[in-house]
Amino acid sequence: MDAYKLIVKIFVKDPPQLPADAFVPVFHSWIQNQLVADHLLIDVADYQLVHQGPGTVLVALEGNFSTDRADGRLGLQYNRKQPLAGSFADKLTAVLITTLEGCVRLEQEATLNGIRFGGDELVVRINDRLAAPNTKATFESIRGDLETLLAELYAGAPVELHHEPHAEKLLEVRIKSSQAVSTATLLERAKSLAALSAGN
Amino acid sequence: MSSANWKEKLTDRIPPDQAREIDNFEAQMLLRKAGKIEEKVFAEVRLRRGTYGQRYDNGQRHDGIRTRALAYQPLTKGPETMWDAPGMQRIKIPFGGLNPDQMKLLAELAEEYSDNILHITTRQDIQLHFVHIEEVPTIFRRLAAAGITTKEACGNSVRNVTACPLAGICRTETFDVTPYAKATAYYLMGHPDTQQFGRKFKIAFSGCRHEACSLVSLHDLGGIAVTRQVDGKTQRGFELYVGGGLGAVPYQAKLMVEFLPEEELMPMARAIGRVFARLGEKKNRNRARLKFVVAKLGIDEFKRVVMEEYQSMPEDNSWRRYFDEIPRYDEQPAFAAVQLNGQKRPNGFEEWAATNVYEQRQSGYAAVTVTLPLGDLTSDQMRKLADIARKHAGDHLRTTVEQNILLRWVPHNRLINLYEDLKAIGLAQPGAGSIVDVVACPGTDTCKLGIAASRGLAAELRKRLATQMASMDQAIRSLRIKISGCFNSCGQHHIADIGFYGNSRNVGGYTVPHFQVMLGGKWTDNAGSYALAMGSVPSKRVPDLVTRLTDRYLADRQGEETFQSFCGRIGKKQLKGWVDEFVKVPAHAEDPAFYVDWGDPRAYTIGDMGTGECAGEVISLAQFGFTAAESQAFEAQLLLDDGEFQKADEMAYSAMLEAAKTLVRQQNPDTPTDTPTIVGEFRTRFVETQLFWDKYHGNQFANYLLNRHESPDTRYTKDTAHKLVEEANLFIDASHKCLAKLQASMNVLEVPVLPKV
Repeated sequence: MDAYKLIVKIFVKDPPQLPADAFVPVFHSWIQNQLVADHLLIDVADYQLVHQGPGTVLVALEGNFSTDRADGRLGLQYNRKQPLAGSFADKLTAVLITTLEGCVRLEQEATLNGIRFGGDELVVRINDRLAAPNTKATFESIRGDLETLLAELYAGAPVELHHEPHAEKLLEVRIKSSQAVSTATLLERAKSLAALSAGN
Repeated sequence: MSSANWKEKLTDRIPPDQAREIDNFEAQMLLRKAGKIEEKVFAEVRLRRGTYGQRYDNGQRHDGIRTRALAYQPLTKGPETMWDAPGMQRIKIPFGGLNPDQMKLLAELAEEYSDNILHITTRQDIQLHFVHIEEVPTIFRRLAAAGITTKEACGNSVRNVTACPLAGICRTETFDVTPYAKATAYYLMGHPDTQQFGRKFKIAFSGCRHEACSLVSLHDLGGIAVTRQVDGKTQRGFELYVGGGLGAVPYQAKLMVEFLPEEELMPMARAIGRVFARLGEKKNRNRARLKFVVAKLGIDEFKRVVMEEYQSMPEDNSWRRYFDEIPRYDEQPAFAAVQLNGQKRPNGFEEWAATNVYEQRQSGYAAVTVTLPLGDLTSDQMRKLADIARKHAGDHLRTTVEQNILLRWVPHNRLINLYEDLKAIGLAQPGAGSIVDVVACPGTDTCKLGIAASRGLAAELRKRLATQMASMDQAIRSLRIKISGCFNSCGQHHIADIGFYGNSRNVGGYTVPHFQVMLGGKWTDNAGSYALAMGSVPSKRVPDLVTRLTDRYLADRQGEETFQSFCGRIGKKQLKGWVDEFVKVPAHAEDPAFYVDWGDPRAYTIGDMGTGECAGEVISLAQFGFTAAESQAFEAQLLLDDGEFQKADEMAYSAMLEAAKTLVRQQNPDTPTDTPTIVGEFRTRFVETQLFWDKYHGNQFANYLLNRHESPDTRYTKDTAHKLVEEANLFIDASHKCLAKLQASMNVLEVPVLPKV
């Protein structure tokens, strides 16, 4: 699998009461303070009127962050647009790290009423229908990499992977762990894994 | 990127000529990337395929604190347009016709290459934003495989041909214009006679004269369906209109031919294209639309020239191929018509049906408008909407110029289930074609020309009005609000009951987002008349102004009086008085909220503004002069309304002189105030120095004054006076901008351009 257009979404746990445009000034401040490493941050797009849409989007050359509300569940989604180096596992780890860093940063935002992300649930998608058609075969081809990564992230705790083949939708894997882990811990573990891979 | 693989996969599904064109585009893209063709050449290549630049693609953006360089690689895809900067892809949808398979493909493209949003435009196109140039050939190939093209979606070409979305099902149409729109779109696309235009060319077809239909009056070329009896047989044809257009100075199209037989439609369109290519302005883009040719020649002479061209142009019978298809065009319902009898109606259904369901001419069928807030929907919604269409309506959908999607041929007995299905995906909002259904162009969100946040304002108005909808009087409900981010009119503000276009004003050394208020435009009668400017109000006061205007309309309306009639009866003095209640901007220290735009928390500034005392003094003197100029421009409008065309012309000219004098005296307070001196000084100090130069419009605005001074149009007709009044307003707007430049040059504060960290 050589796809690099990976999407990771991490859900907000017990979403606090926030105005619809709460994330707009936050993402602007990320640009002002250049808070996202290795990203050329460009602009903020707001789609709050769109039902279950991308909410507020922080547009960057390398990939977009959005406060996605698909299926009525608020989460931070990172959508990689530009190629990444390394194996599929390396790319997935890198995208996960970028997403988790975004979550941790949002958790530290004073204006977001103590927003917290649930570390026990992830969604991974591959945004490339040609390279990764949403079939059982494609899922099986990435399953090993996913399980290796998740074993490190959740320190061996049981993890369920859910995938449904679909002719039209992107390949999507829903991941649920029995262990609740903070985003900070997940980030630390993902970074360790990336460092280990880089060392090899 | 996976372009090569898509090419391989779709080889058998793309018509060979289209495949070659896309290969050619890709080759030119790679040549530009390798620096082997000029940026200007590639810019024209991509624009003709609808691949636009977006805001900040010059590599610079004010982040609210400072102007910051966006550190793209040093490669451009056009003048001042960085290669890597995300751009916009416009996708042509002739007459707005879509089928569910195409909708699903469009959903995929938005998901994979854009930001998961599809945007419906005021010309029935679909736009994707934040697209990387290197993804574009793949997008073209995937579209081509689904029967969609972006060819000539931009550039100096025939743009998307629009048509009434109700064509074929309308209760009042003369006949279905759909196949004619389709034939004309594909006949003229890439035709050799449409390749030498100096500017874009817009075409529309309407089935009725009195409805809004496809807004023929604002098009370069428009046809309204008519019939006549010849030897006992009904012959189809068109009333043909030419030379309409919005933009900075709007023109109503003129009737050129009262009855053009259907078989002459395409050859006549070709002849008009040839005349436009020959006589249209090529150097000055701001005078290059067909409307200027028609205005200059007069409709009679223009018609004579076109008829001469029609008789003498080289033979080209390729139009017959398209014309012969017209009788075969047939839209059949997917489901039998069954009446809605006794089914239980869910909450919200009646309210939705009242505004979003249209009774078709064909008994037992309805057309349903899917209201899209600001014209946006997600990929997931589009995919599901395609399934819903197939489940309840069939294959025939249309995008609309009000940025919605229309499902046709819905049997009555399926309306309730359709409503429930739409509700499940958040697309069952009522209010189609009402005051809540605000139309807006992209404005400062993504457009390089945007001055104010048209989408931000539209979102705010929509939110506020939606909460009042249930208790709103029908007279208010049926009003239309349309908003443009600048005077270029992409939001079609001229034909709204209440329209706005973005501009800015200087207050105490700060730039404040404003909107020019346009009242009394006419949507019906194919955009029957245009609104006139009432003055600018701060962006943040617009919602309160809308409340004020609608309250007054409700209180003072006589009988079934329309808003246009109301405006006419009340008079502009009174209307202006209501608008003027909202012009005041509090000091920055008092209310900084006025100094940011809707939906954007950044300080509304270009980053190099300051608050020096010296500048403050200058501003107050200048504002005094500009206020006088604006008053005169308004007086000119009143004179125009009273039929005093020569006086209106003279007053508009005087308004421009007043604004020019204000500028000239900023540089030399001792300048004499006689007209020749003011114009001469203005030319020397502002035109020749390019201080009045506009990045996108060059000397267009300065020329309004210079042309009036040097060669006044002494016909003094309603049209010539109206044009000058509009020009005076734009000249004053440009003077405000110029003043900001002057202030900047006097400002000692320098704002650093920071490199990317």
